[in-house]
Amino acid sequence: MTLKNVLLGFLIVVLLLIGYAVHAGIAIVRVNDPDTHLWIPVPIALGHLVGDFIDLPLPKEPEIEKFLEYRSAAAEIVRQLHDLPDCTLVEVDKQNEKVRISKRGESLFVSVDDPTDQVRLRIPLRTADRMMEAIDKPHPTVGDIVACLEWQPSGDILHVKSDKEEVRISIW
Amino acid sequence: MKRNLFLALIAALVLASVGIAQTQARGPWMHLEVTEKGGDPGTVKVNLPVSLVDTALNMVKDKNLKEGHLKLDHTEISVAEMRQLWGELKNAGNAEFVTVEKKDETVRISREGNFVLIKVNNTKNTKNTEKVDIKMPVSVVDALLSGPGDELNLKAALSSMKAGNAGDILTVNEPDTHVRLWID
Repeated sequence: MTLKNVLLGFLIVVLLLIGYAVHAGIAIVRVNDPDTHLWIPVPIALGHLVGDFIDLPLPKEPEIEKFLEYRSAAAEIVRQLHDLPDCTLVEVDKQNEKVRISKRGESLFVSVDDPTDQVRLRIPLRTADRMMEAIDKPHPTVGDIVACLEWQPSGDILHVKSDKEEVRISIW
Repeated sequence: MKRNLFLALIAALVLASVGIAQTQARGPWMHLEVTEKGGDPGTVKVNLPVSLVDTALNMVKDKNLKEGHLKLDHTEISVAEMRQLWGELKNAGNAEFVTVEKKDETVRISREGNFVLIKVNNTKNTKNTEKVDIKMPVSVVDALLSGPGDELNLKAALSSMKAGNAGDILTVNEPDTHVRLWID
């Protein structure tokens, strides 16, 4: 085996890994405020891999512990959301506040507008499904949570904008 | 021939699966609309499939609301008394069961066909009359009162609503607030 063949094999493996990482998606976190300008691209597959070594202390948090009591009902709600047609589930329209929760395609959209903040959240239902499976594990890891974002349709997941600050998490 | 039969079978399977998906999406929905005109005017609209409300009810674990059973505290009439009263009135046919006429309040409870109607008119506020109209199918009242002790069985009531399209369930007309709850 020549050095050339070894290098070629190595190159193929690296390209395959890059292809997998890109195809699984890249999460981009952007934070803009007067003091900070952050732009962090995170290959989700890599986050999944590294995160598998970090245990999440989720079940120990009192709020999470309480939520875990309802996980079967929550999973059932997510399952039923898949069957719904596109619709607006909740709409609050007040002078200083507008809230809308709707289902479009295979995602749940939440938008909140008030005089100071604007929040847009898109939850792909497949992500919610996987999240339910992840928190159902006795010892979920950071990797399990990151894995929920793999293979999802591109676009913004979260966008929070206020007068001085903007946070945007997108998947590409 | 075999090929045609196979294609027909595939087509039937596809149509059946589409039909199942449409039926699931088409189940009854619960709608709530609250319109406020007072200090903080605005509207709140909630549209949810009854089956989803049913599942969400399982998530609520409150002192008075557990597993879809609502425990009523401090009411003028207990659930046991309601149940007893309903047992006697249910088979009376179309009739006005209760009429309370006070100086500034009128309460009427009657049955019209398959519905129980509760109408409350309050004229304490001379400028605007406060009206509460409740129209509930008999089967839903039956289900609601099917719980044990002093509990209203909300889960059974929802199942009953799911079985038949209940239409308007509740409307409240107050001077500054309008509430409408219906199922279709």
